[in-house]
Amino acid sequence: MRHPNRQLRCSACYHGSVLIERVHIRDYRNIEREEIEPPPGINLIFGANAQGKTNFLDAIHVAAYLKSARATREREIVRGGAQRARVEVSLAREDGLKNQLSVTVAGGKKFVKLDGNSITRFEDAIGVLSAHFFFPGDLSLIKGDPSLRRETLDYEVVKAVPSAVRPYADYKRALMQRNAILKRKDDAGINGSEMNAWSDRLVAAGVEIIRMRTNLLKRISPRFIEHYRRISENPGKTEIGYVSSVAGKVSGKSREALRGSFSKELARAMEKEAELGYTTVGPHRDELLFTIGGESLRRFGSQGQQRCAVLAFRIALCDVAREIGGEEPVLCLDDALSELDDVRKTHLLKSLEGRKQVFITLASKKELKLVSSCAAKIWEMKAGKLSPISRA
Amino acid sequence: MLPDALKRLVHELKKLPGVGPRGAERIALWLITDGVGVSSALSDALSAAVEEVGFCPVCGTLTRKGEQCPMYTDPSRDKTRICVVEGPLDAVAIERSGVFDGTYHVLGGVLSPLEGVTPDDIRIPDLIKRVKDDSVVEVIIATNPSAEGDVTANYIADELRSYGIGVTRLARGLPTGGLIDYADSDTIEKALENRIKL
Repeated sequence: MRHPNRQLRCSACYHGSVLIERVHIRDYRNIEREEIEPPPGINLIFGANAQGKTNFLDAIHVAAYLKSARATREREIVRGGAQRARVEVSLAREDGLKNQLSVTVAGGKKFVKLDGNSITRFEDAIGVLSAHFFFPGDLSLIKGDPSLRRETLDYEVVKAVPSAVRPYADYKRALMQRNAILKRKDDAGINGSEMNAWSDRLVAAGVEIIRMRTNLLKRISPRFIEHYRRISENPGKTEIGYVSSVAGKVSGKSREALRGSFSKELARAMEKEAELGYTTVGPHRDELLFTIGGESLRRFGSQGQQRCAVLAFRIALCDVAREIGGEEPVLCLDDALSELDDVRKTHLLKSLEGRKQVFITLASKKELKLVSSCAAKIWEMKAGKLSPISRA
Repeated sequence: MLPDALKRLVHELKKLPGVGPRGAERIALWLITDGVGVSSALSDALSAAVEEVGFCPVCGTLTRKGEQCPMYTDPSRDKTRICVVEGPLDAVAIERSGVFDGTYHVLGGVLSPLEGVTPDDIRIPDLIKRVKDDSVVEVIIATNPSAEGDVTANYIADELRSYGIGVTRLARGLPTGGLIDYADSDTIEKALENRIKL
């Protein structure tokens, strides 16, 4: 059976941090053939524009999420003239476990192998390499649809608590069934007790989701605020709020209280929902609100502020993953420094010291000079080839 | 290519659940060659089954056409306890265990608005009528442990609330002969929840 909540499934329930010991890339965009063994700590990847720095990070993205962060179509990632693109990573975990993961793209199809075995259910391979990415062009976490923010948070929830897939699957099913009742247009109208049976199920699963999300957010939030303050040029008071469509302020409310107010909101929305034909309140309509100085960052934040917020959020997610005894993800930051002034550049690098493994790309010699002392290793990317260089 | 009569046979076999076009051809060929002895017995059995098998008008279980099922008519069975199941084969499975001496009520499905199944489609009114007629003391709900099965169970429990009878649901947990390290976390959670005192 296909898992009802596919994107939330992750087989990974590993503990301790993960380390990429070896990356082997073949025909991935402009990278024809590259094999490196990155050390733990900060790996700086220096190079002029269009040499393949971002492609290298994107290849790691493919290993982590089985899809490119940039290409919408699979075949776009295959180097011109080549038959197939391939990314292979050797991973080592703190507890000594090793994994070998490879992703091959050929003819618009994907083939995944984990430790020599072909994987047909891709969700089993997603998250084997746990990694977080920052691409400067991608501000969708702030600017995009609320569903993107929910998905990002939900993914982290499931990674933190694998059994959470259950309430998510339950909620989705109950929501579909409930909507089907609301869409039913017949003279009999809506059968109240039938509706209640599905609403109860929706509420029970929904409240679990709200609680898991807000509990995780409670851990993420202080980290986010701290990182944002350090790297932002213009640090107003930032916050991440959970705006619930059913419970107002969630924190401090008991399960029962949440159930009560969710049920009440459903009852209140009933008439409208019957007209619209779908459920209008619940965690599937909740929003993660980034604010600065009390204003919505999405609506009033500058590009620079939004970029900093995405960066701070990604780093905070890594912190939390480590904190709750899960896996510390590999952090990949594409051109994260160029927008920051020198003081903040060093702040960012300082806050990344002590992390298991980080990849940072940068294009300016000046930048490299400034931060190279923090690096465990510096690589230069030139026309798709990586070579180690000595400290500038 | 195929003779018309064979083509017709394949065409009908293809309609059987779980039989694809290739399978249908293979079965059809076997029936008229190696299995020709089986064929006439099969066709007799088939028409007899269609002719004679029906559903108990009270319970919805499989029985002789036009008759109430033996589980219902047997005077030694307890009519005041009803086990509610989704399909007739669920009743057969429980009956095979030999541990239940009440009667059954086959719903013929579960609530699923997505598939257009409403409370009126699944013999819930009949169940309520039985509860009144047979002065039932307990309804045991044995729908499958799926989202739809659970919701149907809760719906029935709600509908029966005003009758002041006992409504129970089958326990969930580890299967006999199963291995704990093979059980999924949801099953283990349920098993812990429903643990029993020794």
